Amino acid sequence: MTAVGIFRWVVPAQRSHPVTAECVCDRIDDLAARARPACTDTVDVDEVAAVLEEAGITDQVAKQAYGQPELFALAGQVHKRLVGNPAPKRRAARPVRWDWAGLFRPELTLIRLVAALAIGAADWWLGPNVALPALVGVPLAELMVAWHQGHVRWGLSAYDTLAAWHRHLSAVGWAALTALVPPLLVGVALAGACRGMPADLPQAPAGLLHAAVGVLVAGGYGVLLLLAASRRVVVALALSALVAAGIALVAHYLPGTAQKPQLVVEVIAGGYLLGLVAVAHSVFDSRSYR
Amino acid sequence: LINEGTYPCRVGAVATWCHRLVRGLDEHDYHLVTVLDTPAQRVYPQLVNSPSLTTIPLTGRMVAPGRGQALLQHRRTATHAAVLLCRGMLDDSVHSEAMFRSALRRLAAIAADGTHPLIGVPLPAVLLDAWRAAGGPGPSGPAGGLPVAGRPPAAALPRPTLRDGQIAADLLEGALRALSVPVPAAETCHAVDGGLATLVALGAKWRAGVPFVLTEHDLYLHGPLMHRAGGRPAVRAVLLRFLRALTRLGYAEAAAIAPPSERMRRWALHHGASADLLRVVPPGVDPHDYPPLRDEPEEPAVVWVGPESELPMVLPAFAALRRAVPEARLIVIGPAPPGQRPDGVSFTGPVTARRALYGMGRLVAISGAHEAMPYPLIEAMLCGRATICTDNGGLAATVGVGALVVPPGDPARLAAACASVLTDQRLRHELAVAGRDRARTLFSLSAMLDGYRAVYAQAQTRQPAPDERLARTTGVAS
Repeated sequence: MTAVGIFRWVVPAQRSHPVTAECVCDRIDDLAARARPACTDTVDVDEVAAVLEEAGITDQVAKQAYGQPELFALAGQVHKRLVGNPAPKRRAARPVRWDWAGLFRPELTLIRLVAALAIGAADWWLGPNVALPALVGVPLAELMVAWHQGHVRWGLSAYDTLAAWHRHLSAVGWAALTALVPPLLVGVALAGACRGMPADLPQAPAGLLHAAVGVLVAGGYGVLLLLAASRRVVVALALSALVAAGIALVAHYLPGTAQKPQLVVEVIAGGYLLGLVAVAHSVFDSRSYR
Repeated sequence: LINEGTYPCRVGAVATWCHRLVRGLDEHDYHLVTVLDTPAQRVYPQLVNSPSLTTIPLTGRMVAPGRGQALLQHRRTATHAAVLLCRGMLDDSVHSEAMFRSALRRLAAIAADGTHPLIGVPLPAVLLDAWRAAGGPGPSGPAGGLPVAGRPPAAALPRPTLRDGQIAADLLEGALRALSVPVPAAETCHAVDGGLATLVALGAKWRAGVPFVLTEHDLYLHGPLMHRAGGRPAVRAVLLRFLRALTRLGYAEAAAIAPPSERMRRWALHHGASADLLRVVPPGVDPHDYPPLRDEPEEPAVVWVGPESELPMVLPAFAALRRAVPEARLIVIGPAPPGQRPDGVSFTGPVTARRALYGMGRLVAISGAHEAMPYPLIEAMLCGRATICTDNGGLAATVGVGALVVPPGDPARLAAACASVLTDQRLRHELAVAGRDRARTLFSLSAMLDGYRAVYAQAQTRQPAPDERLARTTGVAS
């Protein structure tokens, strides 16, 4: 706040004139109008007093020019006018519901690196059927996280009671969870469909299983990203390590088994389910967003 | 000597004041305590009588009181105190002041072992509850709240959001760390700020029975904590009320109050300080450092000192001055702002010693808001230069007849005053003599040191009563 240039005319011009009861109110109104630009975000009468004082208004001026016993009384009168007749506010900006800036947080970048490693490894091991669902799923997961975090931040700036905030958090959290369930269902359904296929169709089950892995990995990317965005980076990293260890065990102890791809899908689906539980624990917890 | 992030870690008017005080009162030993928002190193030289320094960081990991039952007990007591604290600070009644005091005493008691007093307390929720109770708008959804019926508009707090509550709570948690820092054994504490420095002094008084002297150098509205509100009105409102309640409590608990200016004295009286405890001790400058300047420059030059934000007012004033005195020059002490420089204006760049620069002009003009210690003005007066200043913050009462005072923000009046002083040698001489006399009488370093000797002696006679001290190191205090 600065008072420079606002009161230039007030003090010298009115010091010399006697105060009458009729003109006191007009003068204070005038002073309040002049003070308004310097007091746009005033929250307390003491702030008004400081502005008036820095503008050269003393107890003597308050008494002689404005008929008030002292500066603080004059500040009270000015503050009353400022608060009682607030300046027209500019149209508030629309609340940001997409937190794009939040996507650049370092912990999310770390998770992206881990996820990229997983997708790359799966692609190298199982072929392009994995990469295709991931190419579609990764941007969708980024959108979902930006949407969720944007709504969370908006809720923090919009609600003033914990009950309303928890309701909002619950609604947004359920929406995010709902968005993360379909990849798990699709992946499991594809893997289940392979089991029912005749054994004389060796190519089709493998392709379906690879697609199932791709869908689960793409969905898992969203799970990990949301966990990292909710301050659960360690959980996300532990989950990734757990799934990677499970797959390594399957590959190491069951070499050449026909059931190996099926088991890999089951390991990833199990990790996905655990991830969903962790997400459910984090997105409804208000302490995740500070 | 307790300050808020200034001496001996940052250069500034308050730090200069502290340094002069410590160096001047060499019969006292000082232990320096500074509350820092960011880590900083000592920049002032270590003096013989102030060998030790305690820094209190406002950020970093909180110290917990252990686990299990101890933590539960701490949390229960601290939550109760936090409720009292928030309710007490958001209202201005006498009852609220008592609640605030009681809350701080409880927190000081439970923080006596160095733990953070508010660890484990759901402070945002407590704060929002107190906020609503204090007259803010009632619970509402995302569409804006309504004022509470029956409350005058002036009493209403800005509508808070959860984010405001979280930010304000975080800042309060950081601020209250100052309560948990033990002050080394001392006869007297001297808090040189009304905010967090007072909090440290209060902790020392309640825990160890050390009386304290309070010297506020600036209004509580301008405390460092206020700058951390981030432009959020609701957060600013909470911090402002916290600091105001703290300042009032400081006035009530201080053994002596020594404001550096009449303005600060007036504010202290307005906020309930006892007139008996108040004694204005103006800031001091050593006259030997600023002996009179004998010669005047040939050309009619004006030396100007002030914040850069004042230049838009000063440059038009100088243009008006040039119309009256065409050969006039303006020497601005400070760096040049970007953009075109008007004719006749020169900038000195950053300077450390100003005396020689005062000698480059026939008069020294000072304008703009300043802290409670207008050192350039005092120095120019001591140098025997005619001075003109704007009446920001009641400066007219400080300078008296020692300088020409013009209303702030009025380039025409400033130009007219400069023109009359530049062209009237007799007026310049009269102002120079009057200014030097006044500065030597009121603002000499020896007067300031004598003032504080008396204030310290007064504080020693007002030892806290035994029942004012906290009886236990943990648990509930009265």
